[in-house]
Amino acid sequence: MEKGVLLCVDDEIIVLTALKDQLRRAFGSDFHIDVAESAEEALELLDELALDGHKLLVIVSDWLMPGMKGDEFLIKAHERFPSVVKIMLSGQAESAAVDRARREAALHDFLSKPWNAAALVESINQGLKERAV
Amino acid sequence: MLDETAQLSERIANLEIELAERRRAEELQRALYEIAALSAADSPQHEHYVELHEIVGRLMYAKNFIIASFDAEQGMIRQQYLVDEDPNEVMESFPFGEGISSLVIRSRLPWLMDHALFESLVAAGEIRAPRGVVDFNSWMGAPLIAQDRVYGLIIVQSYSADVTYTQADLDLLNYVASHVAAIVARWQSNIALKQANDELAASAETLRLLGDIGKDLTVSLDALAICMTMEKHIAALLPMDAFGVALLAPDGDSLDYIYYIEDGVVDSANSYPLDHPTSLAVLTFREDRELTLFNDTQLGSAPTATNIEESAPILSAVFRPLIANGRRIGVVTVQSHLADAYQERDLEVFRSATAYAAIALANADAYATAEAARAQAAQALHDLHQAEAHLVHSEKMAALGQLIAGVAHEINTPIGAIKSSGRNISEALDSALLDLPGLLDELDAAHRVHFSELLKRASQPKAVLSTREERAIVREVTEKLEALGLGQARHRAGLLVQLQSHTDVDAMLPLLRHPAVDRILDTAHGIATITTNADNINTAVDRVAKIIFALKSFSRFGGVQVWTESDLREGLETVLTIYQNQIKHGIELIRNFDDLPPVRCLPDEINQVWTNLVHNALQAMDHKGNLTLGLRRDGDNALVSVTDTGCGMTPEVRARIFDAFFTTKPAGEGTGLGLDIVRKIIEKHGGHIFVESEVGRGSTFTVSLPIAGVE
Repeated sequence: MEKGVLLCVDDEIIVLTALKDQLRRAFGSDFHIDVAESAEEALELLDELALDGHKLLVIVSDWLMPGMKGDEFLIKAHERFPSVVKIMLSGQAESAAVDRARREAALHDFLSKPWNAAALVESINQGLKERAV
Repeated sequence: MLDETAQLSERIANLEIELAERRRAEELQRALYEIAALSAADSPQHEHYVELHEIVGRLMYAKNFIIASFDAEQGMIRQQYLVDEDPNEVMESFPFGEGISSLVIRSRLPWLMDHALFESLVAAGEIRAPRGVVDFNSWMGAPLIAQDRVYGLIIVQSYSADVTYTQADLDLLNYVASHVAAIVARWQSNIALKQANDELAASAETLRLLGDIGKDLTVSLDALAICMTMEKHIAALLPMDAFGVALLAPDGDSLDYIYYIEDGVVDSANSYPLDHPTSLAVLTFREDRELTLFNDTQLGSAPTATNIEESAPILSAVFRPLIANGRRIGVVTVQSHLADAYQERDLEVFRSATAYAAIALANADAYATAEAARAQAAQALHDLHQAEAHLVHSEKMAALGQLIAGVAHEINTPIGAIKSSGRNISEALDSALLDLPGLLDELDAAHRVHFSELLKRASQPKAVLSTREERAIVREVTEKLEALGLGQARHRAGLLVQLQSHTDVDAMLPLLRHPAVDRILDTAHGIATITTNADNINTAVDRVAKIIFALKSFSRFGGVQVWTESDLREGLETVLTIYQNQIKHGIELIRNFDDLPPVRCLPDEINQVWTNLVHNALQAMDHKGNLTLGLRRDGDNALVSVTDTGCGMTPEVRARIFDAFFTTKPAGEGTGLGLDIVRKIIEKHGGHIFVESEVGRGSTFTVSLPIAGVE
C-alpha cells in the first residue's frame, strides 16, 4: 500500500514550488506530495493515482486558472472522491464560486493568497481529522 | 475874302472841335484801358475805387462821386465808395426803394437830373426826396449792368451852378459805367468764388475734423472712453461748460447718465425715468428731436447735477438723441454758461459728433454683449471640459477598478510564493544545520565525496520541467529503482529528480544503498530546497516588480502630460502585463510587432487607448480566443491593431461605438465612454481609428498615429 497523496493544483509554478517544499516538510514522511499546473492535468493525475493504487487524501487548488476554474474542478473531483479533503487557495476568487464549491464540493476551507504556511498545515490536519471521524 | 475868312474860321472851328473830340476820344480810350486794367485785381479795394474816381474825373466833372452795389437777394443798396463836398453825405446802405439810386437800378437806364425833373418825378410819385430836400444842381446816375444783371450804379453830382451835366456827359458816364460793370461783375464773381472756396475749405475742415472725431470715437469699445473722447473734441470746438451722455437702461424705462461733467467736475451717475416731468434729456428722448434752449426758463426748472456746485447758471443747452441703426439709445447734451452760445455751424458739428458717438456707443454695447456671451460660452466650454475630464477620469477609474481585482491576484500569488519559499528556506537551513554534522560523521570518506557531488548537482540551475514531464521522469526512475530492488522507490525517485541526480542512477547507488539513505536524500533535498526556493523567490519578485511597474505607468493620474518620444511596444507590453491574468486563461496571445521608431505622444493617454481596446477585445470574446496585437509602420504613421476572435458587431452597433454613452454592456458595467475617450485621445494626437468587424468572426481596431506627433 502506497502512501496517501496530497495534490496541489495551481497554474503558477512558483506557487507549486513553494507549496511542494512546504507540504513535504510538514507531511513528507506520511504523504506523497503531487502537483499539477491545471485542473485538466489534475483530473488526469487523479486517474493515474487511482490506477496506481494511491489513496488521494487532500486537494489544495487555486481558483483562477486557465481553462477549468477551481470550483468546477473540485466539484468534479468531489464526484469521484467524496471523502477527499478539499481546500481552495486563491488570490482572487468570486464569492459565488467559493459558495458553489462549499455547497457542491463540500469545500473544507478557503485560504487566500498570500497564505500562512502554519494555517494551511493546520487546515489540512483539521480536514484529515474530520475525514477520519 | 470875307467868305474866305468865314470859311477859314469855320474850318478852324471844325478843326478845333475835331481836335477836341479826338482828344476826348483819346482820353476815353485811355480811361477804358485803365478800367480794363483794374480787372486784374481779385476783389475791389479802396484804392481801386479811388482809381476809378480819378479816371472818371478826367473825363468829366466828378468832385462828388459815389459807387454803390446792389444786392438783389437782400434788396439792399450798399455804397462802396463816396467822395462828396457835402459833409452830411456819408457812406451808407439802404433798402432798395423809392430814392433816385433805386430809380436808376429799377429802370436800368442812366438818368440826368435837374431840379425840375427831380421835382416832377417826386410829384409824379416816381421817387421820394431823400431827407426831403434837393441840394444838387445837376445829378447823373448810370446803372452798372453786365450780362443783363444790375450790379449797382455810379453817381456824379454837382452842387455848383457853373457845372451842369449835358446829355453827352450822361452818354459818356453810361459808356464808362458799362465798362466798370464788367469789372464789378468780375469782382463779384471773384468774391462769390472766394466765398465758395472759403466755405468749401471750411466745410472740408469741418469734415476732416468730424472724420477725426468719428475715427477717435469709434476706435474705442468702452462706453466711458467714448464719452470722454467726445467731450474732449466738443470742448475743443464749441463753447462747453457741461457735457453729458445718458443711455437707455437695459430694461428700457429710464435714462441713465453714464457720464456728466460740469465745470470740469464729473457728477455721480443719475438716472431719470422716461416719465420724468422736467428732465430735458428725457424730453429729448421721448420726443425724439433735438432740443435747443437759449436762455429758456425750462433750463432753470430742469434737474441739475447732484454733486456739482454750479459756478454760474447754464444759459445755453443743446440736447440731441443718440440714434444708432434707427434705434434711440440715449441722449447727449452740451451746455454753456454763455447766452446764445451755439451757432448753426456749432450745431452741425455737435450733430455729426453725436451721430458718430451713437454708432460708437452702440458698438460698445454690442461688444459688451458679445463679450459677455463669449465669456459665458468660454465658461460653458470650461465646465464642459471639466465634466469631460471628470468623465475621462471616472472611466479610467472604472477600468482601473476592474483591473485591481485581477491585479490583486497577480500580486498575491507571487507574494504567497515568496512568503512560503522564505519559510521553506529558513526551515531547510535549520534542518540542514541540525542534521548535517551528524550525517557527515556517519559517512566515510568515499561516501562524503558522493554526497558532496550530489549537493553540487542539486544546486545546478534547474531545467524547467512541467509537472507532467517531471511526473513521467519520476515514474521512469521509480521503475529503475524498483528494478534495483530498492525500497520506497517512488519517494526516492521523486527526491532524485528534485536533486537532478536521476540521470545516472548507478553513480548514486553507493548512497542509495547506504543505511542512512533517507537521511542522506532528505538532508541533500533540504539543502537543495534552499537554492530552489531562493530561485523561486527571485522569479516571484521579478513578477511583482513587473506588475508594480506596469501599474505605476498605467495609473498615473492628473500628472502633467508631457509629449514624449515613446516606444509603443513598451506601452502595449505594459497593458498586456496588467491584463496578463485575464489573458493567460484561455487567450492565445499573438504579437505581430515590427520595429518602429519612437512615436511622439502623451504616453499615459495612449496607454489608456491600448487598455481600452485590449479590454474590449477580451470582453468581446469572453476571455477565450485569439488576441492579436499588430504594430507596423505606414509611411509617417504608426499603425497599431488589436484583433479579437469575439462576437463581432452588427453594422448598426459599429456605426455607434464611438458615440459617448453608447454601450452594449449591461447597466453598471460600462460607462459607454471608453471608445468616445479613445477617439478623442487619438484625435488629439492627430491620428485616426478604424474598425472592421464581422458578426461571429471578431473585430479589428486599427489606430493610426503620426510618428512625429502633432504639436
